Amino acid sequence: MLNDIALGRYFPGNSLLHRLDPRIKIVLLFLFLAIIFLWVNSLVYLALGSMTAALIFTAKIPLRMVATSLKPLWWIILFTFLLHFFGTEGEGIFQLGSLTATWEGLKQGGLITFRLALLIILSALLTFTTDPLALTDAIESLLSPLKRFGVPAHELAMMMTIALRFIPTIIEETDRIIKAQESRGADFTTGNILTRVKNFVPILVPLFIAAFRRADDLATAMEARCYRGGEGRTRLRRLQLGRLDYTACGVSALIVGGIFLLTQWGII
Amino acid sequence: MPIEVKNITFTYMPGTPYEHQALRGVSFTVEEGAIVAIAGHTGSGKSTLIQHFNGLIQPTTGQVTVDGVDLLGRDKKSKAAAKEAARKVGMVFQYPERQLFAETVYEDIAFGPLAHGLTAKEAALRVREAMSQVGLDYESYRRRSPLELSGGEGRRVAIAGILALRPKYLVLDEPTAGLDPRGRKELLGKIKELSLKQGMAVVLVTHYMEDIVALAKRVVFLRRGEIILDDAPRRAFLQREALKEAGLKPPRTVALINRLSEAGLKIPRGVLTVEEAAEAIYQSLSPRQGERQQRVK
Repeated sequence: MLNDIALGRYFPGNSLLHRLDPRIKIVLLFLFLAIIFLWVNSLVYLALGSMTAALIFTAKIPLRMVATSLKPLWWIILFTFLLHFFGTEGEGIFQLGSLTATWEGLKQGGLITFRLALLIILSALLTFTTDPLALTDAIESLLSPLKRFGVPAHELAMMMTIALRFIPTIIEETDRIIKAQESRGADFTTGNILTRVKNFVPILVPLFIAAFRRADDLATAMEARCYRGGEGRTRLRRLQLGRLDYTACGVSALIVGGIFLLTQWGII
Repeated sequence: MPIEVKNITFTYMPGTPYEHQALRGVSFTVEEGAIVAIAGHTGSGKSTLIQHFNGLIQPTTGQVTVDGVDLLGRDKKSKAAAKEAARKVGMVFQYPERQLFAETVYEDIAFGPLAHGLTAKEAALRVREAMSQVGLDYESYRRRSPLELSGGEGRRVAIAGILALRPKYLVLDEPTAGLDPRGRKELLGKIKELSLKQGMAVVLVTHYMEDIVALAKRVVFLRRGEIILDDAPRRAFLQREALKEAGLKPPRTVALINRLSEAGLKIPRGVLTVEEAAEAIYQSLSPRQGERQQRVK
């Protein structure tokens, strides 16, 4: 039951997107997210939408997984759409009580919905095509200039690496504890909110105990191997920019530049 | 009526790159009062298989019945029946002491009976009974916190928590893992007692062959989600090919006799316990026995 978590799942592969330097991927992701926020324009969205579709296709991510990545935010998307559908002034389509659905609302709602979906899918693409460890390496590398201002880049990245490393372990542990307590007759699905919260005690207590014990063990193990923070630490896998990365940057720059010029000239 | 597993398959995360078929057509019956061991290498599907016994997971294809009741309830009525049937199967997971959560040993053991709707009075009775079954003194343990118990004690408390449900079938996943030799011996003794005195059927998942020697009347070898052997331990451990395929080593007694036999000693095969092995070695070394064997030859 807990195996269905899609967000943050890595799909091993060897596509262009997989081979791209994770730092470039992060930077470009933020660039495109910014564009999506800055230009609320159906043609811009169409262009970025087709780009996203092409990326999904080349990275061979199953469409079902892309859809699953939208699932957690499904209600927010629906709510936003309805808010715009009924909340925008304009030519009415139909009446629902005191609410009027409008054509302008439909257009606006569709646009916003598409924007939200695009934001989520693009972000999901990053985690789908990037090994979590490479991702944290990239974050450390991107944050390292901030070390001068006292940002503990290495420590932050190490914390993320550890957290990511233990997500599957803790999911497995949770799954087992739930099953064990279910076998003893625990019930997590019926009763009012208060009883349901109370019913989670048999899961949460062992889970916390296990997490603390594990953290303690890990700290001991790291100290035993002389871990003492990022100072003077070298790495086995070094990130290095290649031709592919420069090409990706160039193509992205062209897309962004093109959008910028076209909007400046008022063509779209 | 037994637990019957009919030709089940189980696939984890179907339709993703992580798809993994854990069971491929397993059929298997646990008779009433039997002690069955399931052995196999890591990833052979042992744990997946036993989780079908009380409906924690449903097979992708195939059927599991407990006392004739299908554990896959299709409508409301059969669902209730399935739940009722699944309750007859007590499930003790790996390292069960890690699932203790209550403030006292008493409360933890009473959790199951109370969750099943028993009154406090009935539950109290069950707690006493279960604690004596695992050999924990009621007065000295009931008020202690599960956190301050040793690993072996914690495990007994956890098993008592399952026994308090009075299961007809007891399923244990690696019950002796991480215990010291004494704790292991004591626990196995208690399990054997439960089977003999209460007629409880026991399914034991393990990769410690010594546990099988000590307890089981029947052993099943699993390999990559398939049963490759289902026989009495005495015969099963002579099947060297099957053992090797399942990624298992024979018990030390059997291994010793095998080596002696390979070294040229005339020695009867099919021994299981330490006593039998000692007897066999003694017999084959005593000169009269040797002469007699030679004469027979």
